Amino acid sequence: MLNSLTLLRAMNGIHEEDVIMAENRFFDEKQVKHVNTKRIITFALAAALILGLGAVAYAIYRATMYTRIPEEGTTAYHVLYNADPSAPPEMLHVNFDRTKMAFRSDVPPDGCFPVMRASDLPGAAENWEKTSLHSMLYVAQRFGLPWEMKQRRPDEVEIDPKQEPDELLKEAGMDAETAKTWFTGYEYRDTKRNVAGDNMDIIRIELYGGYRLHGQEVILGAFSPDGAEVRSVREGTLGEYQMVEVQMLQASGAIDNHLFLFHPEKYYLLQISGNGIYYDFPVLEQIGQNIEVTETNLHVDSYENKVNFILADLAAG
Amino acid sequence: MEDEKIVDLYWQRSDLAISETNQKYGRYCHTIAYNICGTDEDAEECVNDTWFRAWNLMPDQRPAVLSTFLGRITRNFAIDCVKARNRLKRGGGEAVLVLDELEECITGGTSPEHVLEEKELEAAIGSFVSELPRPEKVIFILRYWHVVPVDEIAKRLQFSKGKVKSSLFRTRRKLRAYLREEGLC
Repeated sequence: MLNSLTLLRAMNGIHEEDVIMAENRFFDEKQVKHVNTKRIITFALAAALILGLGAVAYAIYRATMYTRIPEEGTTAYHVLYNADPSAPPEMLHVNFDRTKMAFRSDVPPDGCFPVMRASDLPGAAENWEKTSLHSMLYVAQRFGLPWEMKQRRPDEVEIDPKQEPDELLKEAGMDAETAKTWFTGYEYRDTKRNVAGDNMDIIRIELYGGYRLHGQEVILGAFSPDGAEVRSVREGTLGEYQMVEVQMLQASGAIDNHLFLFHPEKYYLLQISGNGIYYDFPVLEQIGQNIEVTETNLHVDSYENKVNFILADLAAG
Repeated sequence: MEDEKIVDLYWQRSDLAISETNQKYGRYCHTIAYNICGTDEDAEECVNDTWFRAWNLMPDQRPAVLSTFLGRITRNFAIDCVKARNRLKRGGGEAVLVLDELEECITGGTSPEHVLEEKELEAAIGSFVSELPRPEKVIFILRYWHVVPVDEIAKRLQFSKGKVKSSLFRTRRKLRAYLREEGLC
C-alpha cells in the first residue's frame, strides 16, 4: 500500500498544463456544453445518415424486390404512367406527383400457358367457367391477331377456338380451379374509391405483352363482358396505337368504359378500363397517351398479383 | 483576484493572501482533499495546512500556476493524512480505491521509493502522462491527480462509467509497462 501511496503522491509530477487542461475539461461548463452539443449534432447526423441509408436501401429494395436476372429469350415491358396534368386528380385518385408509377412485367417463358384474365378481383374468378372463350379473346380477334392457346409444358396442343372453355382448359392440362389461379397479368388498378357502397375498380390499366409462338408474335388478351351488354364499339387510332373503345352496361346499371390500345410495332396491348361515372373515353384516351411503355431487359416473376396490388397501394397514396 | 496578485500578497506577507486564496481556491483544494481523505474534517484540516504551507513557501517560490501549486500541496497533506490515520483499506474515502487501482502499476518486490528518489518517479509519471492521448490523459489526471470518483468523471465528461473504467485500466497497464521500462518498478 505504501507503494501505491508513493505513486499517488508521485502524480504530483504530472505537468501543470496537463492538470489545467483536465481541470478545464472537467470544470468548464462551456466545454461540457460544447461536448453535449457535439454529441447531439453527432447523434442527429447519425440519425439522418441512418434514415438516408434506410431510404436508399428501401428504394433499392422496392426497385428490385420483384425483378430478377432476365432469362434468355424473354422480353419485358416497363410501363410508366406519367402524370396527366389535364386530368382531374380527384377523378384519377392516383398520386401522380410520384410521376413514374411503374410496374414491370414480363412475357411468360416459352411453353407456359399465357392466359391473361381481365380481372383477378375476388368474385371475378367465379365467373371464369361461365365466360365465353370467344369473348375472352375478343380483343385478339378484334385486332385480327393470329392467336393460339397452348398447353403448359411439356406438350403443346393446338386448340380449336370454337371449343368450350372447360374443354379447352382440360386439353391445356388445366382444370378450372388451376385456371383461376393461373394468370399473367400486369396491371395497375385503383379500387380504393367507394362507388355505391362497394369498392369497385374505378380504373384499371393492364399491359398485355406479345410473345413468339410458332414463329409469330401473339398477344392473348382476356376480355370478358361477363354478361354485360356491349353498348358501343368504336375503332380508330390514337397516336401510334390502334384503338378500340368498348362501352358496356353492367347488369347493375353501372357503365364501364374500356379502351384498348395496340401498338403494332412494339407489339403490346394496353387495356385501360374505367368506371363510366369517373372516366369517359376522352379521359381514358388522355391517360393512354400519357402511358409510356418501354421495353426493358428486365424479367419479373410471372405471378404478378401481389406486385400489382402493392404498386396500386404505392401509387394511390 | 488574479493569481499573480494573490502571489504578490504572499510575497508582501499580507494577511489578505490567505483569505483571498481561500476565497478563490478553498473549494478546489477542499474537493481534492476530500476526495483523498473522505471526510470533511480531514479535508478542512488539509486545506488549512495547505494555506500555511503556501505561506511558508512563498516568497521563496513564485508559482506559475497557483491552482496546481496549491493542489499539489493539498494532495500531499491529504495523502499524509491517509497514511497517518492508517485508513488505507477501509474508510479512507476515494483514496482507498485509487490506491488499490495503483497497486496494479507496481509489481511486487521492490518499492519505487527504494529504487529511485520520489522526484525521479514524479518526472517519469509527468512525461508518461504528457504523452497520453487527450481523453485518456484527462480521465487519468482527474482520477489520480484530483482523485475524482469514477461516477463523477463519467457524468461530467459525458462518458459511460464503463468507458472511464476501461480507459483507466488501459492507462494503468501502460503506466506499469512504462515504469518497468524505466526500471522504476
